[in-house]
Amino acid sequence: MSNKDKKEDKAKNIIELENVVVYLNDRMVLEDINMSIPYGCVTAVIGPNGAGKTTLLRSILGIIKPSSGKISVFGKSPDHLGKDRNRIAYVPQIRSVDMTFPIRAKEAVMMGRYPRIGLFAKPSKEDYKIVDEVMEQVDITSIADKPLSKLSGGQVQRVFIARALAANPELLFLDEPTNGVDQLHSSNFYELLKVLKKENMTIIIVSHDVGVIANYVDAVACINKKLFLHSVPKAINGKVLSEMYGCDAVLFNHGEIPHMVVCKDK
Amino acid sequence: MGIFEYAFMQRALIASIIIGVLCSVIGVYVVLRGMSFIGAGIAHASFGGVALGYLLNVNPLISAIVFSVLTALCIGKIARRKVIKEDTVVGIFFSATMAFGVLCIGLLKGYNIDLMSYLFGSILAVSNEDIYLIGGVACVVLPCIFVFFKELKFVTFDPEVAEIMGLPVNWLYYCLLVLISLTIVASMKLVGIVLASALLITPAASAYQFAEDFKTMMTISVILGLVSCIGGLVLSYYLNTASGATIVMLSTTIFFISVLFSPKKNYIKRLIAMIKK
Repeated sequence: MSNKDKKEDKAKNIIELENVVVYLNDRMVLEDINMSIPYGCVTAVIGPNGAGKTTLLRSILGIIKPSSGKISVFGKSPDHLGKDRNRIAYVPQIRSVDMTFPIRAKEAVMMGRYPRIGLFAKPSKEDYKIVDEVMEQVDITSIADKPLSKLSGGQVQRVFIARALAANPELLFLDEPTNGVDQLHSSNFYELLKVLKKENMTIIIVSHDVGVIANYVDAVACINKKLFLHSVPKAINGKVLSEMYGCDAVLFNHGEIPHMVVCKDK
Repeated sequence: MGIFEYAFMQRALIASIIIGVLCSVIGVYVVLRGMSFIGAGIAHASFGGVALGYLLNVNPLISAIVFSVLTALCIGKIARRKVIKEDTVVGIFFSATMAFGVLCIGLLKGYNIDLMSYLFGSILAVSNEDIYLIGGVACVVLPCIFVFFKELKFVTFDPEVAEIMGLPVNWLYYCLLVLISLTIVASMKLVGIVLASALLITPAASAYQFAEDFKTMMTISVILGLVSCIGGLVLSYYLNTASGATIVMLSTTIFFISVLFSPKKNYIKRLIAMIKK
């Protein structure tokens, strides 16, 4: 990509959804979603179980095709990203992975480098250095040589976060990254989020950790099949957001229409 | 070295070594990706290929390769669409290709084909040509595994994330299906169609009991595959039993011993604890 292209790219939103409808096995999971996420924005996607949060992620990632509507990532359709896929990293829910697979933590982290290394080549010294750095960043250096089957859920979660970071992505998706992670490492994760934000990474987090997460993100997307957009007052700070979300959480319980708060101005 | 003075035993030994390595390398992916049933399905599809070869008067191994590769790709293509479950697709192709083979054989009235040697393998059946073919298959399969080692590992471990992050997941899946097909056809003469899938699964499944990382699993799998194939061959000579069946039985015995001594399961420790009580 030339420099000029890159500039144009930056001007637009990194992710755009227009009237997206998704059916899974004849059941409507997402209804008429409109959403745009600017470059460098950290967005939390929250909502009750079965609200379609993961489906939203998977649609943006191009794993699920929407029945109607338009999704664009880096200005392209998610199933035609080509080389741009290397700019994306994903942290799956840990229950989606076979924990008995014979692999050591550092091997799993190195996998994040594979798409960058390319076919035919072996990991270079630089790749090993990056792996060491990201393992340090999420505090798993001490368990680097342990097989996955001997790690706790929280440790595996951090291995996956490290794997995603090793790819040095511009766009990072995390599906329930603090599930099963203890308090200390959960707050470490949020500190890490701040660091990544400074590096201008665009991040989308699906989370249950409602109260805390609002303090660390620029936008909150509340989703329950539908999603609504609300502008945020310029003066908003983490506290206000958190209070607003607290309110939303009550609304959820009453089955009200969920809504989204978009990025505050930077 | 008495038993390897015979030319047919020398050929069988060379075949055993190559097949032992091939099956146990490919088997690691088959076991870890849960493709055992696909493996069995492809093996049975090769029977249709053999029968077709006789009918069209071409080398049955060549027709078996073409036929089972195409069947594997068909199964893969349909299974990828996720409308029909993978095991259902395999189940349909499994019996359909066998039925097709039986019909072909039926059309060959008057021919006396040694079907038993294709179904259950025979060391006497391994010809010089077969050795070249098995060697040729190894020269395709092993370099492929070597070149795509890290990609296949990622795809086997976490296909969804591998795809999202830009690995050619579909392409690698089809590539693996082709490699499985080639490996099965290569092992056909020695262990037979029916038993080939056992050789594909069992050494890797035994290795899985011990391995804590991917390369170790592959190394142990290869060692156990070689022990099963060479050991089974020698045993079958002295016991005067069918080579394919002996190899598979030895391999299965190793599997049960592996499970018993698996550090992941700790059966022995638990047994001792029970006795102490």
